[in-house]
Amino acid sequence: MSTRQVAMVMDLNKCLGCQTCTVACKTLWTRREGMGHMLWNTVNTQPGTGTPHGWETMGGGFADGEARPGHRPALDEYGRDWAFNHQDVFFGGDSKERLVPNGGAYGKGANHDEDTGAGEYPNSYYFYLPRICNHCTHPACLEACPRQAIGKREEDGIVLVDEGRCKGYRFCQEACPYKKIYFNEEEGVAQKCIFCFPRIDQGVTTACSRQCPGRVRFVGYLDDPAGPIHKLVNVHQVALPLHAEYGTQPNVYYVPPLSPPKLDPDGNPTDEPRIPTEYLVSLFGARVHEVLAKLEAERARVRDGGESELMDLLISRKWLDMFGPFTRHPREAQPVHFHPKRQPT
Amino acid sequence: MTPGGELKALLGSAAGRSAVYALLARCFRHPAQVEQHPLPAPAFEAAFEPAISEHACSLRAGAYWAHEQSTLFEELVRFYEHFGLARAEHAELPDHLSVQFQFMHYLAHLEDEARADRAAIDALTRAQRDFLERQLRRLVYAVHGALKSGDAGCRELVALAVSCVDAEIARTSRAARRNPDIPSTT
Amino acid sequence: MNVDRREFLRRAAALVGSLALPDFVPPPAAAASRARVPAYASWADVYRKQWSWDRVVRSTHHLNCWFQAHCAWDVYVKDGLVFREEQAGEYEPVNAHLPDYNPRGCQKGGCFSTRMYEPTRVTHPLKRVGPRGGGRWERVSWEAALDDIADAYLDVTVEEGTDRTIWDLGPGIDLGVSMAAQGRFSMLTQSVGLDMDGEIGDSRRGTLETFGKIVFERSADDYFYSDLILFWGGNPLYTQIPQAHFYTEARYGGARIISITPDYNPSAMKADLWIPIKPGTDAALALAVCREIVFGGHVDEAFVREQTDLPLLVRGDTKRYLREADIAAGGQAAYHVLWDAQSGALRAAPYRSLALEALVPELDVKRTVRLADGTDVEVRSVYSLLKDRLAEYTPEAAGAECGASPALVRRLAGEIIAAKRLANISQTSLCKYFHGNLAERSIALVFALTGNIGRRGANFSGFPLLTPDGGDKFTIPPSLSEAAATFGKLEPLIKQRMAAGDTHEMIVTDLGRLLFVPGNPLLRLPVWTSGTLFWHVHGGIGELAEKSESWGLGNKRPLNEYVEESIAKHWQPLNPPPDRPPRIMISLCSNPLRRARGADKLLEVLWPKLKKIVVLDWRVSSTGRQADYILPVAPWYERTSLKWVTPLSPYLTITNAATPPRGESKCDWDIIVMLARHIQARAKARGIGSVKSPQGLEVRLDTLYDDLTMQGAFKEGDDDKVARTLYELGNTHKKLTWDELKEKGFARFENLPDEPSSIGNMCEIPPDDSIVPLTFHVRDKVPYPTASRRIQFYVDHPYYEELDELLPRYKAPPKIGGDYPLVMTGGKTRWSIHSTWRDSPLMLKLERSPEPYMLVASPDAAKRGIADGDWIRVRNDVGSFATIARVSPNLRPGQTLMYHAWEQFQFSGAGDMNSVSPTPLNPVELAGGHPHLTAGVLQGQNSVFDRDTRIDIERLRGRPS
Repeated sequence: MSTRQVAMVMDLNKCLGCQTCTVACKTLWTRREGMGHMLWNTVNTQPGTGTPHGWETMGGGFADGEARPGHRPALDEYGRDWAFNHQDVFFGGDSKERLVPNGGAYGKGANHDEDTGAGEYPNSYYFYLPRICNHCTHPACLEACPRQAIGKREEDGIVLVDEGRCKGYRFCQEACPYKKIYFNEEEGVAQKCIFCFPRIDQGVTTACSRQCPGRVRFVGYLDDPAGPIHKLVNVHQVALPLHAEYGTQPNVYYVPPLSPPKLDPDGNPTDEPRIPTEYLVSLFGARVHEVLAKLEAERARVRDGGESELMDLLISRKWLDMFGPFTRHPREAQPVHFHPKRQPT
Repeated sequence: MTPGGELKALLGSAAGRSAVYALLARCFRHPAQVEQHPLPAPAFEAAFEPAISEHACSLRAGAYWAHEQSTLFEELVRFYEHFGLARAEHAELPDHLSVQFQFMHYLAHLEDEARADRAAIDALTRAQRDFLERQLRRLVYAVHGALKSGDAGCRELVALAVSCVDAEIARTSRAARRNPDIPSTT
Repeated sequence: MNVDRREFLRRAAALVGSLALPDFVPPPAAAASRARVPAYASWADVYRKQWSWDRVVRSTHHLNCWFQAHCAWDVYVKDGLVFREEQAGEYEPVNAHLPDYNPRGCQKGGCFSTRMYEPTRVTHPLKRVGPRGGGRWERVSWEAALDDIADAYLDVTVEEGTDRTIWDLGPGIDLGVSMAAQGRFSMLTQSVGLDMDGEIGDSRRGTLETFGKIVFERSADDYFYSDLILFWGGNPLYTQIPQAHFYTEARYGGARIISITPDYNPSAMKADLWIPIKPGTDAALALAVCREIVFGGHVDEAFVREQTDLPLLVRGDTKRYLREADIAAGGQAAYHVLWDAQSGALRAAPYRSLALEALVPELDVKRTVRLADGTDVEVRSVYSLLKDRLAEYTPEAAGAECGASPALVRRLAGEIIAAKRLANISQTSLCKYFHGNLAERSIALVFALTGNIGRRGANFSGFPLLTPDGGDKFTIPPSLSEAAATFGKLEPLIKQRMAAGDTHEMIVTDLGRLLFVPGNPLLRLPVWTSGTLFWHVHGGIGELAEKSESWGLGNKRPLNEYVEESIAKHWQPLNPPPDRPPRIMISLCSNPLRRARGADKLLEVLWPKLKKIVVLDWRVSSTGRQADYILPVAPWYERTSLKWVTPLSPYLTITNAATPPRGESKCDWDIIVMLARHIQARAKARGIGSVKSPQGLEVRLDTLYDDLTMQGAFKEGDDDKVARTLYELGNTHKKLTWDELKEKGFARFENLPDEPSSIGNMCEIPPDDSIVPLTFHVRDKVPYPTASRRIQFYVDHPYYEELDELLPRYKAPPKIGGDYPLVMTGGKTRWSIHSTWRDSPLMLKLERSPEPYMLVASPDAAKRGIADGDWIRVRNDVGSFATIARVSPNLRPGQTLMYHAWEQFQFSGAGDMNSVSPTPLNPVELAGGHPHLTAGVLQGQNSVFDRDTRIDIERLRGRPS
């Protein structure tokens, strides 16, 4: 459908769970009417319910080439946009007033299971999983829209909603298996991550990737032999898609996380990693085994004084090397701004 | 004439509208900043300065829609700049009620100066209608709803603001119905 | 006046035809009105015009991120409003081998601009109406506020003394422009500033005991050279967000990470091995590792002989070091003694330099020597004594104490022994345990025994700090032109001390100690005192420890006896002394009611003593709520300043005012200068001239403003000028001008700061490689600022002897708060820098719970019928509070955890998390009268301890009212 495809690789060995990416995206894009609850970028603790809560059981996507029915998440399942009572607390004159969201009835937020994970002490385990729209090669949202209001850009495969065409049917929300497309109740249109295309168009990488202090996210074209994406996905093959079985061919890839060893009943380390490999396989597929082994092998090679292109790639001594051709400074570019009823240009 | 009739008469001309908005803009500034402010400072502070009184309500839209703050600012600044208004040094923040009334005061002033220029008047009417619908009405109603002051002058000021905004929305909507050159808001 | 509709309409009618736009600048008047009305079809039209920024300014957030300070941000401005910020991301690579520093910045900085315009921001001076804490305020002018405060200040100063006015200097102090103002004010008036380093729990006591200083740390990229990194205590994924990538990248670069913590904390997930231990048992584990090193023959003897006190001899009779004066008539009292294997005789230990020359100090010495007076006495080397001590710490014994298997203890020791370059990360969690000093000493011993100190990639982490050093030249002399004369008075003393063999570091550090000695004969300085002791004595927090006898602290005498002795002997500074209650408190960048453990006591005991409480802040914090005045400060995008950073990110990072201060807020510099102006004016009006400080120094009140501003050279509005001056007076930066620095926003340090709070790093700052602290000691053999001039493991002070801490050892954690089954540990939150973002809606929405919560281990919750999200009451003998329980499989059974900085107004029901923390003083920290166990800048004072707090919890039906 598109000539070239931009993609992102996230190294889960480096994610700090700090949510700077979430804040970067939120402050840039989703502060308008009807967008309060939207988190186009999320970071969740896995295992966990994720955002929206339980999204992995909500269906959508494809099975055997056929569209699977899917659940449209309710507002509570994303975590509502709470209202706080700062005015009352600070200036209300009642020293007993407490700062509480939504008068105390706030349910579960987007990150309600932060740092919890699974297992039992001392063998509990967790890691952080950042997610954006995957700008899939075979987007379920695009197929599901009877208005053809969702398109994929020719030049880079970024998937965008034409808000002028969108009539708010919301089939896209049922169809997306990653539940990464939101609905704006005030504007009556679907909205989602736009891969910061106004920045990309000017050679500036996405806000979530540029502002990440953990240096987790690589950005570039899948077919660019000089860029990090091609190397990590196609050459070294350590970057894996999330839930490939959903059938949409996502273009966000993950380097799966290593973890410290499990302890046996005497408290001694075993050979098994804490994060059960089967769990990682359920997310990223069977190649997890060889990827984890490769990461360890390359680490050992370097420890013994050898060289490793893969390790150098993942370290990325020069930060800008992580962003393929998108190395322009945002200050140099035109400020990105909101178009009413955004058109994909 | 009844006060209702007086208000209607004033709002019947662009010059009158401009004067009413000017008054509202003045009255929603702190008395220390305005000569011959009709309200005494303690009453004003008790009604409208949450920093000072437990019974006060904020005059800033950002207080009611905090998460939209920068996008609020952006739209307001865009409206103001579209009509050539730059922000003064040490100005109140763009979402302050007084600032929004000043803007409406200016639009009505332009309308008055436009005389018989239909195109200009239509453009200004559309802008007034949109600004009222998207920004000012929301804030005025929020203030009205949050107002706890029992001071008669303060209550009357807010009631006047509500009456004025309601009348203006009705007028600009009628203009839209009558004039095909003024499309609906959606 | 009853203003009715008619009246309003009458006024409106009078305005017909006028145009008034006070908040706008209209376009220039056009000849024809037609040209002034732009086309407008719909609201979408206003969005057509390309948005453009008026300015993009470099700035940062000058608050106390400590290990994370600071990050260069681009601030995007239009129409005098900040719309967003994004990391600058322009740090140049240090060299080709190391990852670069980009981008830095965290999620909190990423939403700072949303806080600048929040309606809760205070933009006008507020004076309280009604009782303190009533939450009712009136807006007053700066004139009225400062006149009132000035009069109160004069009343107190004239009638009661100059030391009754206290500056509560919180974690936000900049050691830059704000402190230049406060420092001059204090120097001139002899008012007292609280040193809060120990008070916030960052004392790093064990590091002081061992190295004679706490400030030394490497750059974060130095970890890339390590092959084994210990996350021993601490949680860098939370507390070092901008540079944590160096640790994760180090793993790809050949390093292994071992994490040692009670809970499987977020940082442990990045480790190659996680060792769970019982809270507060780190010393046992460390000493077991030391035992393996020593008994396994893995000691780096060359290092130990030269750099540590292990070869030095200790007298069996006095338990003090043997001195040359003891064994030889005419011998030096200052010289220590060792046994030289080369010559087979006692020799004085090297003094001016650590270089051994031909000496070969014997490590394991036990023999009888004859003293000069003819008596025989047994002496043993510290190493010999240590061996006896270490023998107890078998893997089995230590493992039993800390809950680790003996095999795992041996495994840890093996990995450490095999490491070529061992590192541990900066942390201040261990020093928040009552016996944390012993843990730090024990861990330091691991590094010293293996020689992993002062080498690239191999170092023990002290406390990170790196500050521009022009401040003293600005603050201390009456005026800049008198700086040479002022400091020139010290020359004879400095010469004398250097002639006697003291190092530059020792001299500079001792000069810093003079801050705690008001009226000292050498130099008129600002006055500092121990913050912890101040809250303890004047604030009544000491009363919380009344039950402490039953907590197993291990004291041989009641705590108050140690306190009284220490104060009476001037071992620990307390200004004003106990019998002179404070009367005025000015709180700068601080929030003690949120921060101080046991803060309820402050309200009960300290508050009634204070006639005026003034809080300088940009928001109404827990402390602000209880104040008399809140004076609005301009936050960072609205002012220009420079501030300390740390070697972890050795880039001086400035704030360059992006927009003018909102409303009537002002920068700290302006506020303090204006206060001085009002004091001077009121003094003149009231016929007050000068008074004397308790030590007899003259304090001129009628010329305070003139003196503070250096006769008007640095006035209100001159914060940029002051910043420039501080920068130019310093030694640390020569390459960029101040204007260039403001443009760029950051500049790498070039030279080691020459001032007490940073000189401890004792190393170069290479432009093209990592920073290796303690290089001057290890490579250049410069003595350490300790009593023995070496890395010191034998601490020969009477308190240490009394409490059996002459040598490192393990002591079981006391049961602070009573004998309750759960221990309440803590940590710095991910979601705020202290309390600054604690009530930020965006941060609260992204956190696990938007209200205070306690992590509870799954079995402990199950046993008590507590489900995830239930309300619980937490209690012990000291107090109680309510919170939400979050059940976690990552917590060690028996351990609970509350992240810090929740504000009082976020807790429902009575109490807050500090209500259960009595934080008794540890008597060893009351030591003094000793070369390095003495109060100095940000070190050597009492600390607070909250990680051993014992509690129990019970389920509540719901939120308490």
